[in-house]
Amino acid sequence: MEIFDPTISAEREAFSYAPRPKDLHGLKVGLVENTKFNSETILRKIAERLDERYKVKLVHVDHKQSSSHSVADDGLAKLKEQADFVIAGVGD
Amino acid sequence: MSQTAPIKDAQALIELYYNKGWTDGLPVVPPSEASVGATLAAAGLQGDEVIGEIPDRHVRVTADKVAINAVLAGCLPEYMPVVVAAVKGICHPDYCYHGAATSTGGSAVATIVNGPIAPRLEINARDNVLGQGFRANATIGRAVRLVMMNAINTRPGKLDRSTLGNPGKYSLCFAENEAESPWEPLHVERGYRPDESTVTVFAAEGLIQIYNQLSSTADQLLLPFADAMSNLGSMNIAGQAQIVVLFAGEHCETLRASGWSKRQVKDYLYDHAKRTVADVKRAGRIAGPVAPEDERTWRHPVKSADDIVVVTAGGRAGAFSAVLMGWGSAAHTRSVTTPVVLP
Repeated sequence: MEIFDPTISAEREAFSYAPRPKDLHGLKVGLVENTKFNSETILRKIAERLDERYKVKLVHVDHKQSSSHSVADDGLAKLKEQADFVIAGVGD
Repeated sequence: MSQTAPIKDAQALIELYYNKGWTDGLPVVPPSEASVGATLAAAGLQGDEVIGEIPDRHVRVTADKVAINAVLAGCLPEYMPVVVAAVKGICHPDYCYHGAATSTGGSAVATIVNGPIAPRLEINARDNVLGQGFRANATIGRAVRLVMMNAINTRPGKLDRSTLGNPGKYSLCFAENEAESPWEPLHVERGYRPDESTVTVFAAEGLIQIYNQLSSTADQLLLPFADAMSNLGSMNIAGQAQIVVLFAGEHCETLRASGWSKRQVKDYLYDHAKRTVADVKRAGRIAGPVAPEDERTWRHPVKSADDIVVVTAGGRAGAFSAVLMGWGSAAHTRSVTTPVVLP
């Protein structure tokens, strides 16, 4: 008998991880805040600790439209332009 | 599109689909070349046509997969244009599929059909409108869920992380009772002609039934609706997504007799559906300590009166209506209305 497959496999997109910084001293950090409660609080606290330990400078905080949305293109452009590395995370 | 398997028995074929993980737990109708072909033809589609895309999932939903899932759900071929319109709706960016379908909040896709296609396909708009017994309602809604599970990889415990889910996730499809509505139907309100057909999709949390049997005026009748809309446990009181308010028979007649327009109904519900910010904070739904001004500041469950979606459906008898609360927040999702395209 015939079997009809109702599924679709997600298209795989080739990507590679950005190289991790060998040394954080003096770098510029960007944050991606996902709008959930405490997200910005915990990310800013991490940025503060990085500043204390490594003199990392916070240069940009991106606020997503919602926790379910991707970072908007203009936000990505700002992060690429201004930050050496980016921290994103979920707070709740 | 298909492969053969050494199975002779229809029951074994149904079990095979279940064991593959391709069902919602209920038995499915095994497709054939003929049924899938007829379903595509009923919508004038070729199998490889892209119906929609969910970029966050890296998935493009093609017509052949929608047709297969529609047959599995038990749809007649002529339901396909409605299923397609619903799938286009959930793929629209305003619906925010990735959030609504993945969230622990567990939303159903409320699928509201307007226009002449609804009576033509016998999509129920009257007695037991949200219940069982009507093939089009049951299978169109089911087809949307099977597309989500199979074609968009939205399976429980994986990319569907619903904590509880809700029964509407099996199927939640109905037509607006345009013939007995006191007002213009939803699709006309949204700019379509009365003779056009549309499908509106809405990410719905659970249904709250509203019983009010003694009110004879609109303002009295609507108070329990406003109370239900502003309950402290809803996602709405924090997120302010849209809310669908479903008015049925006797309540419709009370509103008609009162002479209230749909605009008046929405404005009244908005004005009366509210809690103080202090109450919402005490319940832990908004963060922070209660400030003196919070006792005098109102929090509404929607951003504006326009975010209350009013629909007429249900039986003539009985003093019951319903509120379908919204998933997520106003920043996440909005209901989407899509025209039904016939070949």
